[in-house]
Amino acid sequence: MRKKIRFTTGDRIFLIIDYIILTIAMLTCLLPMLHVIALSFSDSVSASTNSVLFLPKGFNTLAYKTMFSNPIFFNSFLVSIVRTVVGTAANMILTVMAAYPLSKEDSELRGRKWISLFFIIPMLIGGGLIPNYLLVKDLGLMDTLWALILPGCLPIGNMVMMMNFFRGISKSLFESAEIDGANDFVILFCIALPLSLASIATLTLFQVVGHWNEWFGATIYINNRNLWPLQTLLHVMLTSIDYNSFSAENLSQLRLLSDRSFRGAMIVFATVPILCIYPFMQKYFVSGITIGSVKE
Amino acid sequence: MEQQTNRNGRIPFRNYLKRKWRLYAMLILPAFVVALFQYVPLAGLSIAFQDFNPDKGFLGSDWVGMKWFRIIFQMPDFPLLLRNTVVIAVGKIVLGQIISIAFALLLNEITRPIYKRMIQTITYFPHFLSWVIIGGIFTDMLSSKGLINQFLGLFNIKPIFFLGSNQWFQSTMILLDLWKEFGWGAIIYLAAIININPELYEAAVIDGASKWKSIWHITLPGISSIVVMMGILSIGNILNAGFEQVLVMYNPAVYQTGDILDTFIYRQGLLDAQYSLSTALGLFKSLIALALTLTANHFATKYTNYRVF
Repeated sequence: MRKKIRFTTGDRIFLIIDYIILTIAMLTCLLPMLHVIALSFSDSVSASTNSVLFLPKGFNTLAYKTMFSNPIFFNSFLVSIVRTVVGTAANMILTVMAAYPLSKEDSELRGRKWISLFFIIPMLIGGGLIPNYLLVKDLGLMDTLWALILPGCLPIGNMVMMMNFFRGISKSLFESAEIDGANDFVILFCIALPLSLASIATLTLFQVVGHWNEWFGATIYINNRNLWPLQTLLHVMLTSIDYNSFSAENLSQLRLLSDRSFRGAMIVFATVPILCIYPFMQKYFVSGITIGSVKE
Repeated sequence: MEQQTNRNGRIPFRNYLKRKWRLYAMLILPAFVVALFQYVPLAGLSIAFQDFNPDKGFLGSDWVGMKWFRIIFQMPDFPLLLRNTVVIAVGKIVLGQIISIAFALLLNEITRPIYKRMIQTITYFPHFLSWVIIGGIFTDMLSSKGLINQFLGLFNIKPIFFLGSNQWFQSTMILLDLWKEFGWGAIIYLAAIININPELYEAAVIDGASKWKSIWHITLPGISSIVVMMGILSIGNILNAGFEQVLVMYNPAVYQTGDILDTFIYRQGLLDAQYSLSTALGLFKSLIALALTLTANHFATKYTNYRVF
């Protein structure tokens, strides 16, 4: 622990400037969000005359009411949830299945060098946009959620992190279990996994955010807008609000509603789930970056 | 455990497999997935050397050798695309590192844990938002009547078309990326700072060093190896200008400064169905990135304690 030190004048000035700079940095991150939230709750006159700053003017929830009265938003929300849950589950299962054997020594997994090379090469070079697109098309995955889940279902970077974590577990634990007659399935489930819950939680949370935020895939693989994840729908709606998807009743509401409020409401709606898991992620920030990345 | 060994001192393969087949069994599904979704597209790169026709498929299309590469290198837009990509990417890499390091150093001096925690919570958050969301927020804020131009108006600055003018587009892309990542990028440096021996600071204080001096002479040298490592590793990203960001924020008015390799590949390939041209350009980009990454990894392993595997 550092002892209480008497600051000199120079240090005091330094600290004051430090606090000021960091407060400005924090505000640049905070204010844009507050502005969007304020817009989404403001009335149409204030929003369209640029008089809204960081607090709502003419507070109302019309933007949200209009949004929720259109089933396509709720539908896309569900699609996002399904793709996130299934996608993350697939990611984690495959990550562990590959990471555990590869974490073994060469003597335990013969040919390990070649096998790991096979897994590492795709990290360095990939087929790129068109070959991937043609593959998904040829596999008949177009217009299905599988097109968003399967192509990236083994995140190799995460797999390497998990592998390095498994390597950090004391070998003697595995050896004594083996002497007691446990096979590798038993060792994985009863020893390796319970010991790596923190890493698994970290990777899972990052994977969840990744799936939730991914939007590009659906723009090329899925034409049916009922299967669009929320972020993809948002991408299209933010560039041009498509009035065809609204009923007549919605449209009359839209006239009372500024585009800007409506966009704000969509942005807030898509961000709330991230906000909900954010507190859980904070615990793992540092470990998430440093699992296996820098070794002593 | 007593084991039968052959003359190399290894257990005979059959006995070994009997005990360890489960490890290989676990690898079957992951290996299949990687083969299908990584190696098949890799083989699909062959369409860069074909006149690819979707009806004839990979095997039926005519081979044309280096035709598409010749076309690419003769495209009048090619130098422009390359320049835009490198300018945006290098801007992001260099400024991003500098700002993250500065932020980590400043944050480290904050002694009140609650305030420190609050700053971290808020500045890390944009990292977790998609470019769709950030694009949505900033397209509005950066518009000619948006919040930022309103603010600049207070200083009598005329409205700037950040996203609509070639003069501003590249800087705007770089600044927005900084905004999104500076907090998150500082984590690795903060972790490195924590590992510096606290006795060094105590000794410095006794010797009468100011805060500024102890940052300059203790903290910075203490994290220099990680700074060098991150710097070397970022070389592999020199052609990654941020596809999603540009795709969300650009428009035809700024193609001259905003169109990057990835967006061009996307438009040619998927919107105009120029499969072969687009794949060839993608392959060109991948090969350069591969060479850069391998070189970077080589130097990072040689000069720092970085290990890939």
